[in-house]
Amino acid sequence: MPTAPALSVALRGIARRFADAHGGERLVLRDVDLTVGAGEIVALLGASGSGKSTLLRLIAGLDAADDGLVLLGGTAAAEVDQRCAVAFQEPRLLPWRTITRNVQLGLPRGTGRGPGRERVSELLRLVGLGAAAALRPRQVSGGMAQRASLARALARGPGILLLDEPFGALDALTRLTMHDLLLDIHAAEPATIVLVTHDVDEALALADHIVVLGKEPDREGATIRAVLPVSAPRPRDHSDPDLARLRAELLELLGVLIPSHPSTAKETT
Amino acid sequence: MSTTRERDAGVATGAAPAVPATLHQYATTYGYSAAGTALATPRRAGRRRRWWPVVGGLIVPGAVLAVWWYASTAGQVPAYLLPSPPAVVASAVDLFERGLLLPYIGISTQRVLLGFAAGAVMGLVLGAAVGLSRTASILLSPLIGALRAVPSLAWLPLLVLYLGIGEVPKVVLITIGAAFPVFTTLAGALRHVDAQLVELGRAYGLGRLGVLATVQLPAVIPSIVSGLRLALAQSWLFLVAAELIASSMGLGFLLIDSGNNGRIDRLFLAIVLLAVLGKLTDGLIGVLERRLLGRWGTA
Repeated sequence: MPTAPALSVALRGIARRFADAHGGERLVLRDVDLTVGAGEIVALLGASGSGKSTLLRLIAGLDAADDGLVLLGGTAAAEVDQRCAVAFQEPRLLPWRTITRNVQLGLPRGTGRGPGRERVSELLRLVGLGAAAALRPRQVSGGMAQRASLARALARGPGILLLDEPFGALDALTRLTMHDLLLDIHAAEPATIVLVTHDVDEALALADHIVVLGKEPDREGATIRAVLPVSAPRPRDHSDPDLARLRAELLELLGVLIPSHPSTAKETT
Repeated sequence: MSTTRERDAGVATGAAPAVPATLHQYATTYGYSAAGTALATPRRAGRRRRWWPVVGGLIVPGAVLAVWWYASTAGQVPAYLLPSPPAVVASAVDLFERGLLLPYIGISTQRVLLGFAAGAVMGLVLGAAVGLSRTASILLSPLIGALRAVPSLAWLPLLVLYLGIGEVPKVVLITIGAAFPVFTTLAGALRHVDAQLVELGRAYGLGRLGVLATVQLPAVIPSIVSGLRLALAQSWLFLVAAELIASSMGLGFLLIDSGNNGRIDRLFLAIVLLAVLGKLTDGLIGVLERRLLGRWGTA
């Protein structure tokens, strides 16, 4: 099963407004300009409400920008662009289907029966769910469900893999395992990965570039506050002085939003 | 095995065993236990559960039958108010010998099944339309809601006037009765299908029909089955209403005819037959339900 080559993602002057409760409009994102190189891992980092998930949905074509342009591999993104695969914050598995049949949903249209089955069992092995293939979602743990959701996204063989806080609901230990898994998968099938997170350490462990989203003082709508390269080789050591410096810098950038709680970036909601 | 013996030996000599023996070991080793047979293994409990629903379900009906039998033969209640169970059975045999019993049951069952089938299809189509399309919901919901509020008997004179006194008005009345439960449960269930799963379907390249087939329909199958179950019960209800007026056969006719002639034994027979037939057809849907929930259920 060939996977699509990794594609670049380019955002040009993106703005998104939502209707608010009073019939007016609320600016959520403005002036977002970002280029993600093919095969890169980029983390979108920001506090709650900084438009991270909205930006991810815009890239996926699940939502449309009010202004600006989303380019995938140099061409405009379509509505629900099939070059992307999304793993949502929740596993979103169909409860009446086995894990295998849920992952099958991710296969691109027109995949033959035989190659499809092979690809699914290969992916289930890759995410360590070989033994759970015949179980229903309710019979597996939260971590297993998230891995199934990841396998489903990978089944697309996507050029761009979009992950919306995919490990947010997991316990700390499972989360570390998932980080290693994701890096292994990226090494095996190097798609472009855009990952939404509010966990500074997660971003530091995974990303080539960390994009900090947030509001500028006295201006409506979140935008990109900083793009920081993480050059440390993987696997990364948390005690690495470069990473520690970067971590302090990120926390300071995020802390600007709520000065009284500099640790907000570590919230677990 | 040897470890058990050692442990038991420890208990017998009064020395504290390293691992406390379980009550069950006491029971098997010493022949009795304070816990008695309550220590039965879970497997035994499972076996007991298998016959319990069947036998247990018969206890109360059996008791009702016994009280009825006793009351009707003890001479306290006059026979024209309460026939004895044998008298009801005798009336069944009598009707059978006259060649009436089976045709009555047959025609009533036929009306129920035809009306139920037509009503279920109508309910499914309308329910799907209203549940899936906002436009259809806006256009149709108020009218359907108002029609549902009309009591079943109110349709009868109109149906007789328009459609005569043959089979058609009776089946149409049952159709009306069966359509609403299916419509209501399906429309509601479709509207409440997890929006996140619908979006998931969209994100993975499914079109409207694909989302319907892959996400929405499977998600509402349990609701459809319970809607069908309600509709079937409703069909028997409407059957009696349909047969009360302008009919010459069927269980509803037997009911009204026996009432008019003071044949209380046949009246009881008709009620018992309706109960049995209703329970039987409900059981068939129950089988369907178990099969569908095994395949599409979330457990």
